[in-house]
Amino acid sequence: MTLNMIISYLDSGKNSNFILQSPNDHFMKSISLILLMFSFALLSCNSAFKSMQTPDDVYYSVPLQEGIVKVEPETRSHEENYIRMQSRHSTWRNMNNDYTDAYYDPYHYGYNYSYYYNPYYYSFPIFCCNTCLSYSIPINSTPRMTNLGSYYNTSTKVVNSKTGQIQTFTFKNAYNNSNQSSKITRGNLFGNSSSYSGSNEGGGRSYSPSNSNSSSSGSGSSISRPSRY
Amino acid sequence: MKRILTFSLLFFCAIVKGQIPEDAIRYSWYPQNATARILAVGGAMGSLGGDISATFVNPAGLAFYHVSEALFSLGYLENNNKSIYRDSSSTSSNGSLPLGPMGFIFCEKNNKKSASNYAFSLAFNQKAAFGSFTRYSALNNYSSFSEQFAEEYSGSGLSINEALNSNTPYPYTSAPALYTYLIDTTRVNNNLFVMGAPENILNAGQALRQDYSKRTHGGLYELALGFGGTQDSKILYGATLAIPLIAYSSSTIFKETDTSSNAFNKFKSAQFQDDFKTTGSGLDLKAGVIYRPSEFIRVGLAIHTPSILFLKDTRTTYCSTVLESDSGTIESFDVSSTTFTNGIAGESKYRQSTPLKAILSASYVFREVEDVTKQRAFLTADIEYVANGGNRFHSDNEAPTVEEENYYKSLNKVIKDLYRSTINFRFGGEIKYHTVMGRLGFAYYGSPYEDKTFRANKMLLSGGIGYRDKGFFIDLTYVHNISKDANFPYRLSDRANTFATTRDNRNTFAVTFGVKIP
Repeated sequence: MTLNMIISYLDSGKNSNFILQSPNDHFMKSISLILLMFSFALLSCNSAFKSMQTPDDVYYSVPLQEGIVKVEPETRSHEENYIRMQSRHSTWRNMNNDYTDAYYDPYHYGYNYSYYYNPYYYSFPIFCCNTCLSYSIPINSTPRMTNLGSYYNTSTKVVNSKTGQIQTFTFKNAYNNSNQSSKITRGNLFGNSSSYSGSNEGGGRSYSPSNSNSSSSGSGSSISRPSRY
Repeated sequence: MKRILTFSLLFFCAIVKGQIPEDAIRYSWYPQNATARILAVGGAMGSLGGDISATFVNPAGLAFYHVSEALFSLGYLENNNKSIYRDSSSTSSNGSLPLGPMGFIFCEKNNKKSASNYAFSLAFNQKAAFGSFTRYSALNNYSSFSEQFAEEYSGSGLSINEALNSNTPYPYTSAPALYTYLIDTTRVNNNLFVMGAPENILNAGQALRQDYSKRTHGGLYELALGFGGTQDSKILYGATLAIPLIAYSSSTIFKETDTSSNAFNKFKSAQFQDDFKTTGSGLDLKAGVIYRPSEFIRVGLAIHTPSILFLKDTRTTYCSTVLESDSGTIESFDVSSTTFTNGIAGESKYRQSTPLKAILSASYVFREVEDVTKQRAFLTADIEYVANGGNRFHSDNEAPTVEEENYYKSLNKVIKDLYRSTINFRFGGEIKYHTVMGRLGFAYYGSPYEDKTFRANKMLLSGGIGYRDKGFFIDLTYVHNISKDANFPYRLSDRANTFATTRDNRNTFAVTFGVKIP
């Protein structure tokens, strides 16, 4: 949930892109707040460095050969450890609890009056309505696809202007980046009526629909094309 | 639980899936973002340490920290683009406010004399800024944008009614093109073909005016928890667990116009707009080590595992066509892809795995002493290996179709063939005099394409100054980034393709402000 909130915020584009003429108010407020927090941190921290140098951790590293001080691990008595554990969790306190009557037990105050004073008690059942159903419109999940064959395009079909025959030229890096290109010129992929026989020899964008309903004005579908004059 | 298991398997198997091949390198081919201090030295910091940027590059560098700190970085990016498309030149520009590293460094103890040391970092960074605006315009007498839809539909085997159905596999491309008669079937010698209306102009030996514009927003962000430690100050080690966050949006408009004065040639103009948004998050791990063979010398090695990203694309396209009839009558048609996706934008969920990254680095630090008045300078350099061809995509929809799965398999094959591994270089240095510092840097990112025709690369020149005193520090940096790339407005498989060469001149101003916490 938190991640989604962060992504939603980032996705708003408010912190990464802006129109120069209209700076985003929300973004500026966020930046102002962060700068204010840093200013406060600066005021509270820099007083400690007024009389000493500001360390630069990029440069300073403990010398390899000398000056190394072995720091022994801190030792604690058993009693001290036990007190520390008791102060951190009630399990350790309950193991040696002198308060046999919960009425006087400072760790269980109010927990035995029908839990009325127990801040963790709630008298009504808590449930989540995970099974509640609501109607939603199905979302189309088609990926953003492209014709992957076009990434291997090292051949191109052109029509021989003299014979009208469609020819396939194969060479590496077949690009046409100029209107003056003489290397690759456009040909009508249908060929002309005399050269194209309807077989696959010429290639082109021939079309063989799965059923016979391939007219230009579709009908019977939930979505139909608008009619033309 | 099932998702966690899947996640874990993916993490180690580096399986990926994607949408179109160009999506693959968006999250792997970008210059390194860091604090202003590190940006000024070219972004090189694989072995330097002592900066929060180590969290995102080589977490072993965190072990150099002896005093805790908090910092914040911000930048301003101005992008000037020059595109050359079919011998015509166009320019465009935009601005954005990318974020830099920010967060906290916690030292285990501020004991400057101890050989052993540990430090943790909690940091946030915008690793890549996607804000850009690209525009170009030219005459084209060779191919039309509509032909990609004609290609797609002719090979589909679908009738027009099937293609226009709400369950069509082409709701963003062929369906809007068919609906608006941008493409249509035609009969030649009793055989059916699919043809784009603008092809009438090209087949008559005339040219189309093509206008392309693309605006992108957003970034690749990372929330990271880093650890660095050392026992003897000779070998330093560290690891970072990071959560990448993706927020990217793109709006592309392509327009074709008849340039002839003929009012009876069946086509006048068409505009196709493609809007999509990618959001998601993921997980990755960075681990590194820095070795100090002698004082003043640091050698570093860092490995970044592939980021496993769970992404969602939301997409809508719009198509409008103005046609001329044989009698000269003007007809206009327009439609949104939501017509074919139940009235709401389509959503596609997928997983992407970014490639493995390895960084080898070395630094020479003049005067590694605690007394800042005796600290003089450092030189540092990185060599980075990125296996761009290792990007992978996979469907994350609840019930992916066989066609969808097959598409992703083919896509991964194309990515492997289309992209190659790159070796990137970064180096720079700093001179320090008491509390004032000056820096210079350079970085070069090689072409990720196997096809050498594109000549893509990124080159960065940087410089900056810094001031550090009274418990705080501030660094200011300027980076000039020259980025060359190729931009395909559309791709065809049965004609030679055409592309624009783009040259981005990016001016970045970055500032980092921080405080030391005693």
